[in-house]
Formats: sequence, C-alpha cells, structure tokens
Amino acid sequence: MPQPDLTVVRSALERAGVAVSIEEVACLGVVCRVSADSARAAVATLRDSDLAFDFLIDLFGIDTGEAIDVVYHLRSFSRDEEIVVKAAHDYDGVLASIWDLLPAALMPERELCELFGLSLLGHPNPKRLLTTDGCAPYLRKFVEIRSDEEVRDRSTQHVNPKRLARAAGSIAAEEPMVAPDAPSATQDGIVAPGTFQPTLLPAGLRRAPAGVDQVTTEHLVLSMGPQHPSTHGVLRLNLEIDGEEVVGAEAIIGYLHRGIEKLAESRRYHTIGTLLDRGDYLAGIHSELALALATEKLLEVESPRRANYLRVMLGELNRIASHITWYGPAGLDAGAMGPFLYTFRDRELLLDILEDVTGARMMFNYVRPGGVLRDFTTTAEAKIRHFLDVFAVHIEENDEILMGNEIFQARTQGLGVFSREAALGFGLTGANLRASGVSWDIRRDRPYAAYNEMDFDIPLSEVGDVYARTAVRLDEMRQAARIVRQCIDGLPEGEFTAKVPKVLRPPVGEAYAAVESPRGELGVHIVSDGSDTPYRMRYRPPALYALQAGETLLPGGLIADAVVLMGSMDVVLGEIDR
Amino acid sequence: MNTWLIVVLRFLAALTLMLVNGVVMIYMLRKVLGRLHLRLGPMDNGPWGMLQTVYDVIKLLTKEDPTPSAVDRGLFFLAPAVVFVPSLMAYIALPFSRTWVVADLPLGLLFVFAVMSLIPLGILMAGWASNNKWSLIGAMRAVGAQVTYEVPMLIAALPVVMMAGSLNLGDIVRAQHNVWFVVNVPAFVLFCIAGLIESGQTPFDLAEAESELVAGFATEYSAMKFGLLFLSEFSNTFIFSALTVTLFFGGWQVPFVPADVVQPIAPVVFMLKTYIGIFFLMAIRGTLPRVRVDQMLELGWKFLLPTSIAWLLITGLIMKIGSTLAVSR
Repeated sequence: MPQPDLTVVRSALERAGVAVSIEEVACLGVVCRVSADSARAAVATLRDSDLAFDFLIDLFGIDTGEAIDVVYHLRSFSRDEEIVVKAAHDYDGVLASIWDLLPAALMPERELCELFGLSLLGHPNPKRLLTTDGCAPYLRKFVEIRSDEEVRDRSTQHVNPKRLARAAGSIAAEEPMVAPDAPSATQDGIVAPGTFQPTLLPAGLRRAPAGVDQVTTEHLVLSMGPQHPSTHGVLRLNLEIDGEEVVGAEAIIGYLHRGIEKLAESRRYHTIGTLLDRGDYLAGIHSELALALATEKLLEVESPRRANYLRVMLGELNRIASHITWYGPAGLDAGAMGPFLYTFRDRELLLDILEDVTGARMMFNYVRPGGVLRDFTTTAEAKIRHFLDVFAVHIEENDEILMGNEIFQARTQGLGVFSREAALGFGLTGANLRASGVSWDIRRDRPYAAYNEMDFDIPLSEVGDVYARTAVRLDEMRQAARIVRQCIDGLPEGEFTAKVPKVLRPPVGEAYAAVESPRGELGVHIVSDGSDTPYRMRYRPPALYALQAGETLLPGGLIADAVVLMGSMDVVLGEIDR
Repeated sequence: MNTWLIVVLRFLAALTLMLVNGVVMIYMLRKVLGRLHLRLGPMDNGPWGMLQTVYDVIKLLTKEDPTPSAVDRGLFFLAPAVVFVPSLMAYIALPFSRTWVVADLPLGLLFVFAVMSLIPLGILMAGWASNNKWSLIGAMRAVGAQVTYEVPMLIAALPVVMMAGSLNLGDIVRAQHNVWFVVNVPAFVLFCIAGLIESGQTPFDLAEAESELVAGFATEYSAMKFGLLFLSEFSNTFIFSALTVTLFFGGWQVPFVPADVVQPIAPVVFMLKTYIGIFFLMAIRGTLPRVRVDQMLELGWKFLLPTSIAWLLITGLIMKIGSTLAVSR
C-alpha cells in the first residue's frame, strides 16, 4: 500500500496550526497523533489540502487505559493513499462531529459516543444508535463481560435504572448524548443539534404548499419495521409521510445488537470467526477472511498458496450466494415474486457446495489465521463444475426476468441516485460505489489471498441509481463465476494451512486488513497487547455506511420507493447491528 | 313453480358458484404459481393437494376471530360484507348460457359495472375502521385506482355495446355468433388493462402491496372476515374474466358450431373460457413486478382515458362509414 509522504502531511497539518506527531506503525501505515481539540481541524486539513483524504474508511474508538483514542481512518482515492488520525479524548470528553466534512461519520460517531460514554457535539441527531438508554458504555475496559454463570443466574440480572424510571414516566424517552453543559454548538461550521440540513443531498421535497384549496393536511409518522415484510431483517424506518410521499426518514437500528466487538475481546483468535459469521450472515467467509488476514499481518505468517486459492474460491462462491440472495428480494421489493424463487435454485446448489467443503451452510468458521480449517473435498469439485455450468444459463434467465422487465426499469431507473461525490462522502463501498462510477475494488487495488493471480473485470456504471446497482451486482456474479472456474482449474497442490501455534499470541501492535465482501469494504482492525485475546477488535461494517447513505435519499420519494431504495443498498442487519 | 322460490334458488345457485369458484381458484392459483416458480404447490392433503384449500376454508371458519381494541367496531364488522355482497351481485347478470342466467337484465353490463363500483366503498370502510396506517394507505390506493379506472373501463367496453347494439349481456353474446368482438383489438387491450387494475391484479395490486403495505386494507382482519375479503378478491377476478369472455370471446358459443349443438354444454364452454382467462391473470401475477402508485395514476389519466375515448370515436366512425357503404351499395 503506498504511503503518504510524511513531510507533506506534517507541513500541511502544521500550516493549519495542528500540533501533530507522526509515526509509521507496522501493519497499519502512517499514524498522526493529534489532540482532541484539533482532531476536527486535522481531518478538515487532510481532506481539503492537496493530500485529498476525502474518504472516511472508518471511525471508531480504542480505550487505551489512559484515554479514548478516537481513530479516523482516511483514504485518498485520487492519490491511492491511506492515513490514520488518532486523537486521545478524556473519558468524559466531548467528540466534535465531523459529519459536515465527511457525512460518512454520521452513524459511526453516534455509535462511538454511546459505546465509550463520550458526549457528541455538533451532530444533527445525537441519539443513541445501538443500545438503549442507560446501557453502560461497554467498550470501555472497566466494563467486564459477564461470565456464563453470571448470565444464567437470574438473581443478578442487570436492571437498567433509567428504564425503570422511564416506565414510571420520569425520564424523557429519547435522551440525547449531549453533555448538559456543552456549548450550544456555535462553533464554526457546526450546526446546532436537531437542524439536520445536509447540503450534499439532492432530496428536493415536492410537497404541496400548506393550505392549498383551504385543506389542511397532516403528516403521518409511519413506523416501517422492525416487523415488516421487506425491511431485510430488523431494520426500522420511521417515515414521516405526506399522503404517499416521504418527507422525512430516520433509520433506527440496534434490534440485532450483540456486542460482537466486546465479545471478541474475551475470545482467542481462532474462535472470533464464529462471531463474525453471525455478523454478515450472508457472507461469512469474507468476514472470517478479513480477521485472518489482520491476524496474519500481526503474526507475520503467510498462508500457503493452496489455502489462498481455497479462500478465493469459497469467497467467490459465497459472493454469488450473497448477491443472489439480494437479487431475488430486490425483485420481491418491487412486487415480483418470480425472480425470488428462481434465484433459490442456485442458492441451494451453492449452500450444498459450501456445506461440503466447510461443514456448515452459513456459519462456517472455515477461514482461520494461517490457512483454512479443512482441505478441499473431492466431491465438491464435481458439484462446483456442475454449478458453474448451470449457473451460466440461470444467470441469463435471472437477468431477463427482472432487468428486462419494463415495469422494473420504470421503478428503478433514476431512483436513489448517488453522484460520485455523494457516494465517496457517505463512505459507500463495493457495488454501491462502483455503480456510482468509482472504479475501486480491493481485490484488484489491494490484492489479498490469491487475487493477484486471477483474471477478472470490475463491473462499473456511471449512473448511480437503483438499476445501476442491480446491474453491477449481476455482472459481479458473472465475474465471480469466472474466478471460481480459474480457481478450480488451477488449484495448486500443497498444504492447506501454515504451521501456526494452537494458541495464537500476536505481538503487540495494530493491523488493519480489508476484504471486498459482497457488501463492500469489510475491514477488521485489531489491536493486540501480546496476549491470546485481542485488546480491541473493530469490525468495519460496509452495510452501516450504505444504510446511512440510503436513509438520506428517502425523503422526496414514495413509500414504494423507500422499500426499493433501501433494498438496493444491500443492507444486512446482522452486520449493521453487530 | 312459485316465482319467489325460483328467485331464491337462482340466488343460492349464484352464491354456491361463487364459493366453489373461490375454493377452486385458490387451489389453481397455488398450483399455477407453483409451476411458474419451479415448485409443486400443495401436495400433501388429498391427491395433488386438492383438499388443501378445503382444509384452509375449514380453518378460516373455525379459528378465533380477534378484534383489535382500537377499531371502529361497527364499520369493522360491516366492511367485509360490503365488499362481499357487490361481487356476489355481479354474478346475477352473467349469462352462462342462453337460459342459464340468474336475471336477464336489459342493462346487464351497466348493472355489473354499477355493483362492482361499490366494492371500493367497502375497502375504504375496512381501511378506515381498522385504525391502522397501513390499512388506511391501502384503502386510499384502492379508491384512487377505482376513480381512475372506472371510467376508462366502461368507455373501453362501449365499442362492443355499439357493435352489438345492446347492453344486455346475453344479446352481446348472441351478436358474436359470426365473429368474436375481440377483432376490435384496441378495445380489448384497453378493457384488459383497466380490468386488471379494477380487480386489483398484479401488476396493479397496490391496495394490498405486500412488500410495501404489509397486507393493505386487510392487515387487521383475521378468520372468516379475512376470508370474505379474500373471497371477494377472487370473485372479482372471476367476474372480470367472465366479462371479458362475454364481451370479446363469444360467451358460451363455439365458433363454426351451430348454437343448438353447443346448447347442452354451453355453461361448460363458458366456464372453460373464463378459466383460461383466469390462468392468464395468474401467470401475470407470478411474473410481473408491481407499478408504483403514481405510475398507475399516470397510466390511467394520461393514457387510458384519452385513448379509450379516441377509440370509441374511431369505432363509431368506422361503423358509420361501413353502414353508409352498405346502404349505398
């Protein structure tokens, strides 16, 4: 990965009056340490200077024991460079929002503040994201994970005092995370809470002026989900509607929150994969792979070539399975029942193959640091070849039945358009980003596993609407089938795992590894303290960034558009809520 | 025989036909959709699952019927009946053969349209009384579709009335003993589009769009109240198909076969034709996505209404020219 020039970064930041200490961390790259007060200025400088770090990969926190390190992981697509900015915040400190610089920070900032107990300043919607009021900021180190016995013992069940108080009616339902004595957001460039007026968004409201024909109308608040046929899991959309037209929307998540990141801190490296499988449950291989790659970086272990091929092959099969499970419901969202059942022909074959090789249909825990769990099976090869032959026909049928349909085209073309700038600003990755004309694919631009030996194309579209995203994903399935064929034809002999100890103890350090999951850039950031469990594991959920981007395009459309649009972002709630 | 007894028996026959139709069509829908979707459909109860729908009816009749506490009870109970009765009444005017018709109304076509236009009233009642936002939105959509498509549908049927010279459905069928009125292709297409929307079929099933509105106006209903709503939907499909057969495909007649020969099996011919129409509706249902509500309204006001009026004029002109030429020759 190309590194930014240290002197250029230093001079740019110092010109902006930001005191900075820069170090190069192995496995992570350039890390700039700034103070909490100047973090916002540092991000603004890095974005606006010639360095053009205009893409927020991730924003999260680390409890170092003395302070909370807020980590801004930035990327510049124009220069193909990455940089990490760390700002140490006090435990009861205030996080200055950067959402107006990089709107991708909207939800990660809320998450960070609730899980570390910080106050949020200048955020348009500073409410809790994942947990309920009164839940402890559990990613802080002082919060212990309860043991199995404690969990089972009902007499020590955690009772949330705020919940009790709320039930008694003494607390307002939604308590913002703003500190009571925080300055009322008059800082330059920061708007006051509650006045969310994004400038990036093309949400032109087409509402009739009030009082037309002397008829007064009222808006209706419609709570779509979490039990709704087409919210893809447990998403809840609070829609404010004027007739059929959506004039305001808020995505409410957290119904599937399990605290994977905290649980990982008590688990050995081999066993974290089981948690990640239940994150993005449609593409488990990819999240396992990201974890394995990050751990291998710290351990300085190379996985054997055969393991790399197996990782790629199963990853691509998993990608087809995931995309096809998205493509069918995309038709269902638009009201077409046929494509949904047609796609399940292929999904059955795929899950059979994955079961044959890994032993599980969805929750694999197959990719381990050092290699893979089991060798390739002889029965799987015939199954895969059969699948590839069948799939080549089926994908064209699937293409015609939905993409060729004029009603579907009328429903999706021109809906939910992300310009290139908006897509980058919201941190979209994967097919969502490529549909907006950014040619970026981690498999090609940061090759991992055996992707540098594979020959494949990156489907691209300049349009950025729902139809383009559908077309890009369809093409990706064709490319994935191509990669699988190359893998199965060229599968090398040899070991399927490197020699690694039974208990992994990576040296002290930090590593970030990203893979191109079906939903985009799925990253795992590991902080190791040399013990057999990670000190901190951060899981970058690409679907979370897609969700917050999709949410902003809902106003201006109809209820039917909301369903199709959120579906097209390919949100998987297991991954968003973690 | 007593006239009243005959009336009651005829009415009961229509009711029975409607109920049996509902059961058969639900089974048929499951099988057709199953085949379209690479599935088998119901297979377990009875040979090829034929008893499945019967069991479902028994279940609907016997299951608990909870009423949500926030509903407007009077309207909530009345609404399924208001939806059900008009679609039963529409059966009255349908001619199954030269003699098999419950009431041979001189204005049969208008009667069918008139009673069918009462259905959205019941749907609106159901949606409003449910006190549920999804139900309300679904009901408003149903009424919007009704207002948009009532007029084009009637106007699309008028060329047929002009060609037959009568509003009596039996007369319209008899007028087709030489040539079916489907030769008037534009009228047929316009009638079909309007009818699809009128009977709430995919791609225009907006009133109960499952992926958007959960179950639309029927969200809060359960047990036999739901059953009645469901039954009337299938009944509407049947009526629409039967009307299409009557207006465009010669009703009970078979081409090139004298009416006397067909007479003994006329009702069978009529039902067969109707079920072929229903099959096409089901195939559409299993294939197409749903249009958006604004697209549906645009199609109605901007395309269907002007086109149907224009085609009415053109048909009139052609007939006038034709008759003038015939006279002058």
